[in-house]
Amino acid sequence: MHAPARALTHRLVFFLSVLFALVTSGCALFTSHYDAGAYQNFTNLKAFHLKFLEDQTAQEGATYSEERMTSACDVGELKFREADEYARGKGDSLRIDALDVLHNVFKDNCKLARKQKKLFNPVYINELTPTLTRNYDLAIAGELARVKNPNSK
Amino acid sequence: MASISSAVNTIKDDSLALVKDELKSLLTQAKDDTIEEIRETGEKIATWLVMRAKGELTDDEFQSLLYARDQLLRQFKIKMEIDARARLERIAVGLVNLVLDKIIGIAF
Repeated sequence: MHAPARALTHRLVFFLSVLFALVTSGCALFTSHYDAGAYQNFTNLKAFHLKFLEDQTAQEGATYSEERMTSACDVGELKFREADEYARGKGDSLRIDALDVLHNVFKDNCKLARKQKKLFNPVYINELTPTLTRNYDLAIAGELARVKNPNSK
Repeated sequence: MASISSAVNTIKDDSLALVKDELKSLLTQAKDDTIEEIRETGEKIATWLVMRAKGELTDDEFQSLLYARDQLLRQFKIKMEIDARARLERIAVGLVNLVLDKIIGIAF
């Protein structure tokens, strides 16, 4: 083999070795693959969180119960902790962060409920819901955007 | 959506003139941004300021809405990072497979 051809081959092999090492090492440059369990956790939490807000909003015939509110917040807290444990088991910091962001909003909602000791103001809920829904939709879209999603083209 | 000036004018404290100027500047920048999340954040904050001034929202509710918006923007940033990393991986894996299977395979 001529010298220029040999040099070119060496460069190509070096480039491929680096690329191959990156691809196979689970390097932070990449993201972990799609996970059906994580997707399910995001969608379940979205349904739970929106239902929680709906149930705790002031409307005709509804009365505030501190016990019910505390119980609903505890149930939500457990669901978020379970999802967090699952995400930590997968070891991808972006997935953990995505979940953390949603959990933060839930904790803030419970904090507000405990502070005001009454059902949520419907005007506040009308303003909060689109922002919260979009937050969950982005987290779900983030899971779907990962590689090896069997449903993506 | 509330206008920027009506949102800024909800701040009555004269000692906050600089804050009002900064708020007006940021709301104007957000309004013209090409990213939907940023544009919508500007619109929402302007609306919430007016609702708070009218007494439709309490200070705690207003604060909670701002926090929810802040968390949405964090989620948006995470999603962009996932998109970028996934794209990089698809390209890198595609390149390795293509070169290993087609080019090296033929050359050797």
